[in-house]
Amino acid sequence: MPKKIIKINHLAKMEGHASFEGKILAGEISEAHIITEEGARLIEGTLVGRHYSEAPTITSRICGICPIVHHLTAVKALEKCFDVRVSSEVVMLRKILELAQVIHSHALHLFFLSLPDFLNYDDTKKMAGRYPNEAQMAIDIRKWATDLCLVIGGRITHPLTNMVGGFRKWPEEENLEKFLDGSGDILEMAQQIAQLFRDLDYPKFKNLGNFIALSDDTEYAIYDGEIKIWETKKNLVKKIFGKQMKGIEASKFVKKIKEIELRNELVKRVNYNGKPFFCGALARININKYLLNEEAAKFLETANIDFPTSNTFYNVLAQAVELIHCVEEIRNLLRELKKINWLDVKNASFKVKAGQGVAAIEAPRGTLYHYYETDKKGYIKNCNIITPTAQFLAKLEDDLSVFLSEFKNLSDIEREKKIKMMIRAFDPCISCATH
Amino acid sequence: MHDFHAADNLLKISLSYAQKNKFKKIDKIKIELGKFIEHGQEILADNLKFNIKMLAKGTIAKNSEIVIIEKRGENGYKLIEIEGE
Repeated sequence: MPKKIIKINHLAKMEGHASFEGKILAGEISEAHIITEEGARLIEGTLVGRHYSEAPTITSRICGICPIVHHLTAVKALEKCFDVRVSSEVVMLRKILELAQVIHSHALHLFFLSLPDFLNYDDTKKMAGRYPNEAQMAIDIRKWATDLCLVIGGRITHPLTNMVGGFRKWPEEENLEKFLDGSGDILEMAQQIAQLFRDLDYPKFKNLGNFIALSDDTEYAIYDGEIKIWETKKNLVKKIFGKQMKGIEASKFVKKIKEIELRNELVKRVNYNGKPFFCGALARININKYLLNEEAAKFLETANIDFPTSNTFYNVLAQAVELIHCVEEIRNLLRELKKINWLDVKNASFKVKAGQGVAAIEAPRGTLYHYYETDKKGYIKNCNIITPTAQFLAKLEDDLSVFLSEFKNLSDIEREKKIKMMIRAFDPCISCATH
Repeated sequence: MHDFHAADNLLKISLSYAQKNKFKKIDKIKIELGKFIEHGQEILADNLKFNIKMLAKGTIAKNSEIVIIEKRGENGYKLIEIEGE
């Protein structure tokens, strides 16, 4: 066959951060979904054929806001591949890293992204000028959390110390002490910031669907747990507590999501039992509310909301509750770590082998899954990363259509405003979503 | 990251046109690269070429020549043509 030249002249211009929101505003959910997947898909492509040790390093580059959770989840999944059991001290350090991740992500989203929306400020700086004390508190909380990531993880963004089997370097005891000392003030600040979110004008909204999160009987699950699902359509007993629900192991649950994704390849809708689902702070509170730490639970009581709730606008309030809870939890863990003699702590030794592993950790925006398959020399044969944003996009679309149907004769501008408000409540990871 | 995505984008479009025209292989991909800045970083022709070649492994474009014409005054990047059989 002779050579042929095909003239294309396809102007491809990425619109940057507006792209994801732009697609939702235009009702192009499938396109928006492709955008949410792009970051993860390209990274997955580069991982196949690489040594397992590169996966945590490379996957943490998927996202600029939540690199730590990718690193932690990658390591956890690889530890499943090689049947590695790490010590309880290692788990505590990792929990602190993840809690710190949630704190700085929530503080950023709540004060600098969400609040301006609710208070009708187009300019975040103007709003910060109106609330200078709270702005400073949000910054101080973030600094405390990111510095903690530095001390334990070795770097503020992409961790260096965490690895399969444990940590390359233990944190300095005097450094950990400093964070415990400062944590009282930080807790007060978190409570003050949270107050801003208790009395906001949340739209009245409800919609059938599912809320999915990790759950554990002994603590408010962030780092570990089984998947539990609150199915709103079942209209069960008012106070559904996580412990009354049956849990599904992460690896089994991921299989279910994958099947559904494959079946809906073109439309890319992720459903569970025929209904889209939400993951994130509100899902966690709905299912695990009874395990919140004391101050967080107290604060939630004062909000006077009937839980569990399907009003996804309350995801913002849920994040405010978690802000308090996570600070309390880090305090608890730091107190535990004070009792440790670090000279006695050991990393787990292990042998690289052919294996498979799925790990799930609650990222700030919802459950994150990493799956790896390794060969006998420890090279990655296969991998799959499912981000929370990719999972809840179908629910965002569903909730948007229900929400908008409640209003008659919306102007274009009003409509756009309402859509943006809901997107903001869901808190999609714009970083993961728009690379 | 952005030249990586641009490379992926360009390759996908090339492959889709190649498939539509029943190409068995792509010999040349011609791209026009204007100024394109994201997060304060410019997409560089060398990086773009490297990434396209890397992503093309295992596809019908694996041995393709990548020609990038830099057009400083323009904005964005354009897939001009593909050559193959």
